[in-house]
Amino acid sequence: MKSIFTNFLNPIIDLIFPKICLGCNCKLGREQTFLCSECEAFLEFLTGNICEICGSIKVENQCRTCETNTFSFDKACSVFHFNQVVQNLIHELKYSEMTKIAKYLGGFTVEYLEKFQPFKNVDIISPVPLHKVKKRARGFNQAEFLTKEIAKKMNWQHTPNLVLRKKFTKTQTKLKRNQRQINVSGAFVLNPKFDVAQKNILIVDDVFTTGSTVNAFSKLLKNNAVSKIYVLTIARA
Amino acid sequence: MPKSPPSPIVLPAIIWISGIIAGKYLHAPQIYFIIATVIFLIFSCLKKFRLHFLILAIFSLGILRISLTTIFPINHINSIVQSYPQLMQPINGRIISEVRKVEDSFRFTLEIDEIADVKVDGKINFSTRQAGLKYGDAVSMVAFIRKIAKNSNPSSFDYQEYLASKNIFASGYAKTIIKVKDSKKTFLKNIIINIRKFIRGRIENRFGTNAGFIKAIVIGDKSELAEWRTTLNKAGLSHLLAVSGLHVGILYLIIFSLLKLLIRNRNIVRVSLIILLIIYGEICSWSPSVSRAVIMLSLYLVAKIIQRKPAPKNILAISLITITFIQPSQLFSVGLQLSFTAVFVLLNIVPRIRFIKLRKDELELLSGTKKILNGILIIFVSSGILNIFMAPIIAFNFNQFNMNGIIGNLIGIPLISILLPLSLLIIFLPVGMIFYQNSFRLLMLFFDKWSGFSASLPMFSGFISINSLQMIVIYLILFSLAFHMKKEAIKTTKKTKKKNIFFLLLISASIMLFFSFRRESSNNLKITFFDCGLGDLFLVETPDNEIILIDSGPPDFTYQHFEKSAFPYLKNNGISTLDWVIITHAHNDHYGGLEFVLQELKIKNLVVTDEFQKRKIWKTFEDKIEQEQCEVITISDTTHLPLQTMKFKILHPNNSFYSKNINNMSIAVRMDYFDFSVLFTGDLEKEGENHLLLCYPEFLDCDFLKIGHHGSKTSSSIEFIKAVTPEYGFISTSLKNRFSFPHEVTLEKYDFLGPNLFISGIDGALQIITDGKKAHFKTFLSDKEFVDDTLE
Repeated sequence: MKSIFTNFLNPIIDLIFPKICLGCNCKLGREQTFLCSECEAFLEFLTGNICEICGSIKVENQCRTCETNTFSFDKACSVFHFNQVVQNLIHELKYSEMTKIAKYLGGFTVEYLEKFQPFKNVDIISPVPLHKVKKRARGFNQAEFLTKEIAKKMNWQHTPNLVLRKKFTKTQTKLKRNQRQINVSGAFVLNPKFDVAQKNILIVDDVFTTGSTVNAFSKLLKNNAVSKIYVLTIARA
Repeated sequence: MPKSPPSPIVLPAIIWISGIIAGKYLHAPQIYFIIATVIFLIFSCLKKFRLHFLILAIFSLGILRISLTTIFPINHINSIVQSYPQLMQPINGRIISEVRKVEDSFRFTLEIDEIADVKVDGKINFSTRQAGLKYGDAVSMVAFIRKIAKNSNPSSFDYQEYLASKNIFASGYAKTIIKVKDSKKTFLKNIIINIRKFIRGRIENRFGTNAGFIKAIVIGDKSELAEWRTTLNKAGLSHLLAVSGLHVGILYLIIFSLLKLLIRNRNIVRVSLIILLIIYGEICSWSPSVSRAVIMLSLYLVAKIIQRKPAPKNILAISLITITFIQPSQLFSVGLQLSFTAVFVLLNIVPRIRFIKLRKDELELLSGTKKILNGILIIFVSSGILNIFMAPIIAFNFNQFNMNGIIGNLIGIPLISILLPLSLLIIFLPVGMIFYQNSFRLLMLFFDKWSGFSASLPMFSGFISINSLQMIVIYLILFSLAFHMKKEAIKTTKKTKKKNIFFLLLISASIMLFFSFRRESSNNLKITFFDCGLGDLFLVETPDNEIILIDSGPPDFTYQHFEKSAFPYLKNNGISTLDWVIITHAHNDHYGGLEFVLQELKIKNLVVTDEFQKRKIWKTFEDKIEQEQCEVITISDTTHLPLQTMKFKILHPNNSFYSKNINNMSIAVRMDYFDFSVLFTGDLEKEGENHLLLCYPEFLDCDFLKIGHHGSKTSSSIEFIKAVTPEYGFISTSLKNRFSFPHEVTLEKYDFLGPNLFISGIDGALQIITDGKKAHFKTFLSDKEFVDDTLE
């Protein structure tokens, strides 16, 4: 039955809905899923001379981001260099509801975590939550899909409702750095159902731009006697 | 600009429609194409030339598909009317369309089940005076059925072909009372009929005078919109009335947002939306634009469900194949051509304009005011480009050129996107809400005013004429320019190749342009005798391109009045000014179209008799004549029109003649162009003819006679015919009329003409094109065509 499906129906589906590379719009082969091999090469792990705290690339051994900011988290990492291909992937995931991309990116993230072991003894993994109105409008929380994928593979405890978003904030994409901080301050509250004291918590988001969102999240956790706060994002703008 | 996504169906779709187009003009037994297709398919299994043979196979499949539409089973209504063009039989059938009221009759499409107890397939257009019939009724009656007649005038709307594209080949009317029976409807059909009934009922109850408009935009029923349509057409907004992608898109957004709130699982929402879309298509009776929009949106939703990025061009191509596979003749309907051109341009050309932002990520970066500005720019630019790209099709089919829509759409589109949701709200709210209804009325008033304003804009012309060759030329130029634009936008390695294509298109365009204009110039006299039913309506185009209209046909309540018979020809030939209009005498089968002519065309000189100006009816024209500043020339004696290369004598009435019978006061005209001469005697009876014989015996002998008074026995005296000795004659009359023209006696008198006697009721319109040495004759209903080169 399955062979009939793959041999007969799949080519027809490919004819009507051809697989398209999300990076360059070229036609994909049968075993490729979202990117052609050329575009997949653009998915580079962010390694090398990076800041121990915020994960940005250091310029002349100094981290520009940490000079001007103080972060409440202990360590932040990003999986990929930010480029058009990564941006397209995250974009299609967020706005076009291609939720299978979360699995694809999750795979890379797990590979990254296993290879570089940036975080020690993670107890709880939690996505940056969306406001429930926004979640309803979008249909899902893209970060939650990622954490689910990572938690399953890494055997960490997955708690998507660790923190709730009580304030309906404007989208961060259009704001400047200081506006972003004001925008998200006081946006989160801790879910009283969970005990976070003395735990190591990993926060996951899609893009790290100025760090304002994850920082507001971390501040809240810090106030609740959390042991270590780690931040993982897919890309760094 | 990123590369456009792969669209593997586009090439097969182009080949498929080329096959259909080829098949329309290629007549050969189907068996050849079946064999060809099978052979090509077998050969396509060979690895080496697989693509080539697949292309050939799809091409011959296209030919095969359209050729299948020309054969019908023996019990199909089309086969029956082919062998019996008229029949009267008891009929059982079902009403499968809304019942429209046209004046005092009711019209609908009837699906035939049985004729005289024999099972028959197919549908016919039906009309009756009996009220109270509804969509879905099973009916039985004795009916008169006949084949749908061909159009009998040059360039006029081909009703036969239009209905054939809808699979209708016959029309009928009830001879007895129609009995409505209980019918067995399928469950689904029943649901759809009930939904329609519910929506129509609500619309009629809650919208009052605007009901016709709402029916058009919500359920695609445009039958109650007669006077609105001309305004919106001139305003360039008529696309708002056809349920199309815009409407289906708005409905989709509303329902999607509502269902999203109720159901968490998006895929369930999408599947139910596809079902709703199909029901909606059924409610709108699957007109081409609705079918296109429904198929495209459904495919888009399926792509979302299986999480593939939709390739818009591919989806467009699939919907084109689907529609033309189900009904290949739809490919030749203007509606489908416009609908697909519009989407093609929106997908391919509009994104090339770089100063408007269309992509989501680009839009996100814009601030509020810039977003609105961008929105306005999008509507402005895309409606401008759409107007330009659709103009050739519109000019070719409707002889119009209209850019008013560029301004009209700026307010028109936003207004319709408010009006449509609002009207849905009013339809589906359990109780009528005064607030919504009032705001609707206010918006409607604004829409009315706005469309009136944009209709008054000056970018409209109704007399553009282009032939098919010119249309292709314009498209070649437009597309080559559009593709040139892309070349600058992205730098590809294929630059030189694209340049070649660009120049190839441009060169072929200019060659065709050269040929298309070469055919225009002529030194011919053209006389067209229109088939206007019972009446006279003739058009003379002189070698110097002066336009003379002789009489204007019967009044506009008749079936083939001026607008239907002659106006399409005038529009199609770009004739908007008439240099001379001659109304031979004051009978309404001769002046009946004058009001319309004054309204729609410019008249330089109006030639009438004194008699006409004394009549009461003349008063109704006076204002308009004054306004248009056309010169009135009164004929009281023999004279001539000052034409350059040809002689145009007005022989009658002269000042020595008077008759109480208006017919005898008809203007009689003689034209000479080298060796070719024509005599028009209006409705002159024996008395008038005798006067002509008395005064101008030397001017009567001619080649062609417009036979007097529609072939009445009171005209055409033996002496007169002897004096004229025509070689050709034309009687302008329908066959069945209350005067029983043409009279048997008259026909006998002209027996000597043999096949050279034309009767508009039999031959349709007649056109003579002559250079003065030889004359080319062509009729439009009987399809006679021959050249006489023995003129002397």
